[in-house]
Amino acid sequence: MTKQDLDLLASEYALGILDAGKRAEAERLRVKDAAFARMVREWEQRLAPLSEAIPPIDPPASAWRKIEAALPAPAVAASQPLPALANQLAELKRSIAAWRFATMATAAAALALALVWMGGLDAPFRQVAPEERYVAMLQSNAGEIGFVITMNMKDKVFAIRPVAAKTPPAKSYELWAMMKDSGKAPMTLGLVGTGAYAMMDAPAEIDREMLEKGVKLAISLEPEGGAPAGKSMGPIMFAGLLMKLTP
Amino acid sequence: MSQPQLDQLLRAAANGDRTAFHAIYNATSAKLFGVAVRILKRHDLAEDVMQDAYLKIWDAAHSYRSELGSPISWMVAITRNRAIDVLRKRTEVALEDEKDKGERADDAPDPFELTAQSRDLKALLRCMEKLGAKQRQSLLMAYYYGYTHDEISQRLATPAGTVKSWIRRGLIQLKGCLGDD
Repeated sequence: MTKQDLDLLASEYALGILDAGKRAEAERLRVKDAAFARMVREWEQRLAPLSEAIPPIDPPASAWRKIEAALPAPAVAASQPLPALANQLAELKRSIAAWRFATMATAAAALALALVWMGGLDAPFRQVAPEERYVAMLQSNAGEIGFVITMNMKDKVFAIRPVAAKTPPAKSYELWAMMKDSGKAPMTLGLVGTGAYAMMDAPAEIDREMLEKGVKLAISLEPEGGAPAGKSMGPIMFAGLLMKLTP
Repeated sequence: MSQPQLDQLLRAAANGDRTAFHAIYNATSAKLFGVAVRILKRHDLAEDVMQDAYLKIWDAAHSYRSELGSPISWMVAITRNRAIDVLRKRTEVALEDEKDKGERADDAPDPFELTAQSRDLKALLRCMEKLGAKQRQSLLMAYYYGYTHDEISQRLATPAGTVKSWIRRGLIQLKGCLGDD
């Protein structure tokens, strides 16, 4: 086949129009011919914008559990994918512990310290203007920092970094947002793991005005899989106020 | 979720980070499930396809290259490919009822009617506008329903050879047009 023929086959395969026989042929070629595989990838990329017109549909809630159960068992090394991050956060935690009996001034200093650390950690957050960045240190009653959560207000996304928290067996940690003076019940943001950092979308309701009034993030201990019916049943383990990184 | 965020999560997932993978799932599953349902019409089949797609994404996360395209387009393609493979394995008869239900005119996605179009979609549609109406329609039918040349030929009451050349010329024109940008 000439290069043009191959590109045409790649385009028809990516479009999805080939019948079963031709399609199988293209799939075999894709596996053994890197140049053809690349042509397919380019065509998939060209046509992908069409998928914007396909309405999203929420899959059944059970779908994730089935996928998770089918993932291969994690290797020991894989459970600590970001050792550098973990070390930096341990360091951060020690530094902040030093500010433990903080006055207002030292709390601000702790936040400034967090800004420095966070700025070096997370590329998507680094590209965001300082006034768009918020941070919450989620502490236990004993003053231990369990999670550090940063928010990028521009893209409305949270980055969640477990520091010292460990999920007890057969339980899940669930993250909630509580809006001061809104009269609204705490909003669940979803389950949070303690293995590595995660990102989740911030609720659309959180806006600058809310943040000015005060948005508290809290992590409760719930039955495995999360609070039934979206209402927290368990005790609050860690909580903290979302604060702007720059005063 | 923005592309750099998904990029970063995919890299973490490639290192075996399940929390990152769960975050990817949360951000993309409604999109991928929508794509699978669009082609297969049945939620049970679409759920199986979506699960296969995520397992493939997990396995192949290390081979994803951002310079070859956005993470979401890569994930959509994996899902569509799997859905079309399943579609081809089923007989016409088995899916006929669902197809009829799914083919109501008001239900067909129309990218031209979309109010919020990405820059890439706008560029693609500008190029598609230069094609003939039937040619454009057959391309969209293939993309959204995974129809073969024969299926489109029946639905448009046009010889399969004609559909085949519409599609081929259409794709060649699109490539040329997109390359001009």
